[in-house]
Amino acid sequence: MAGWTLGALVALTCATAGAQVVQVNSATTFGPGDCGARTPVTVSYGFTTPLNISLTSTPTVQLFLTTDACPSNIADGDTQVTEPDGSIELVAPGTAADTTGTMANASTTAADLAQDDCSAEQELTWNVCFYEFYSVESGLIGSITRTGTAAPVVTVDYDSQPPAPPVITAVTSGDEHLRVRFAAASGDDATYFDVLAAPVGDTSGSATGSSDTGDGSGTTCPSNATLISDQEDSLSRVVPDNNAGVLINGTAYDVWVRAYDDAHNASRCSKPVVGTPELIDDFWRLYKKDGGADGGGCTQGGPGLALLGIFSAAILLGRKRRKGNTP
Amino acid sequence: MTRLLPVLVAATAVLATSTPARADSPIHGAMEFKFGSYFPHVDSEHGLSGKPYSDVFDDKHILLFQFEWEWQIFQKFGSFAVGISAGYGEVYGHGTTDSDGSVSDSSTGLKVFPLKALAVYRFDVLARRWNIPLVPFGKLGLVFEPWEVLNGSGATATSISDGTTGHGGNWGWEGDLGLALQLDWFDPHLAKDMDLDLGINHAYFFAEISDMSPIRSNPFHAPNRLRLNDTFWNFGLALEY
Repeated sequence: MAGWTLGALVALTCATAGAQVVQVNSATTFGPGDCGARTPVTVSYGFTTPLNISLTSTPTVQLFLTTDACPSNIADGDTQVTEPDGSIELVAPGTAADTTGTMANASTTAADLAQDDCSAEQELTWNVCFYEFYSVESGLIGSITRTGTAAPVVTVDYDSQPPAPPVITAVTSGDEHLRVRFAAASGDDATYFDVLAAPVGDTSGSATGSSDTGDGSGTTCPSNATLISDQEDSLSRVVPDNNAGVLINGTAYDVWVRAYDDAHNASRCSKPVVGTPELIDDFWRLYKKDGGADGGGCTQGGPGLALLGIFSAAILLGRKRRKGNTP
Repeated sequence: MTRLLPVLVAATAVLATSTPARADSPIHGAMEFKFGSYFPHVDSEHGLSGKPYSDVFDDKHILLFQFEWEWQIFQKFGSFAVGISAGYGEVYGHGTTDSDGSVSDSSTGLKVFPLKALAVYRFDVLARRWNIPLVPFGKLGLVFEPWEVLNGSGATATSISDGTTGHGGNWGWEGDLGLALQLDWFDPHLAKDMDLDLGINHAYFFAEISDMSPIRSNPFHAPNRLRLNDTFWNFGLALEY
């Protein structure tokens, strides 16, 4: 923008038509977490259909995001486009080709998008506005044709609200494992969940469950709890399913579940439910307990596979020779 | 039976005369896709004090899918082929708590992967010479059947008592008898097109009874293995190319 020395800039069009023209190529939702320690999320836009641009001079094309409706015109400035109220200019505005062509993809980051609103407690929606500018001073006015109807084109959501805590419906015993079933709050936008556990009575961390308000808003996730299943979307899972630790048979554990939404906002933890892993006889253990003689392992597997391999190779070789003899 | 005989003769005559035999491109082999309801007789092992398969899997059968590939090496009076086969099947149930033997919520499974080397004879003389679309066949083969038992967390099961792991591979023999219905007879023009366009000479629906006997007739004399033998029906589609 700084390089522009245009006496007048006229926005010919505000925004174009639906998702056919502009598409969001990556995340459409982000939240406060994307503005902080996380690597900024890049939100990029591109055109799914070529813009039909025919000019006698080089046009410049830009995208804006605004929380308002896309204005029909943008007031000009001496050297810089005056951005519409509440808008944020994209970091890398695209530029059209000399006379015809398509606009290059443009992108911005979550931090740039959110700016001062990164910690806002309200959820925001931006419209993507598309403008073309040309220089009146230089008189390079051409014709622009384009298909499209009305704005807004596409929306990008800034989600600052965490989902409601899930509700654990059942915790059942397994061998050094627990099966945890839970439900997300109805109508919530929770998309993935963590499962945490800590031995019952372990007070090394924050007071578990003490902050339960009883109104369904859950509890504070205890600091001493171990993450035993992370970022899965399944509502029924056997834990632990990572290398974070092993649950000990005979030990009672408090289990919590925490939800996340698309913007990585974390909910409070669910109310804890107690589960106790215990020794389970699977089919193999029952077979051995009943006196099964098989010792397991592939004691015959090696020779067996080798023999099958030799047999298969012989067949293939024979077939190849037969083909080779065919005139 | 005496009443049926004239009917069968008449039907055979109709089948034989209704469609002219067509010239086929050379046949090199066949592929089979089949499935069957397989019940490994684990509980038949001598010396077992209980019925672990029945207790855990509630006597459920395994839906066994198999793929077979054959190369025909003789085509004078019927065809003789050698082939290889691979299959997969699984069954899941629930374990029991060690403390009181009650059924647990924790699942456990048995997976089998039968691999075979087979000799196959197909008596296709009726179809070739008289256009009767029935092809009896028989197979004999060597079976190697890897298997694996899964515990509640989806890992290979391990015995508490002796530390053995629940996986292995069993050897055995297999014998099959079956009858294939040649589908060409129903639409000779489509069959001709399949031959010209895809190189598929004949297509069959077939049923076969399969005696798969890993352990029961183990050729390598290793009796102390999980008994996975069964005699069961397979149904499938065969394509000669």
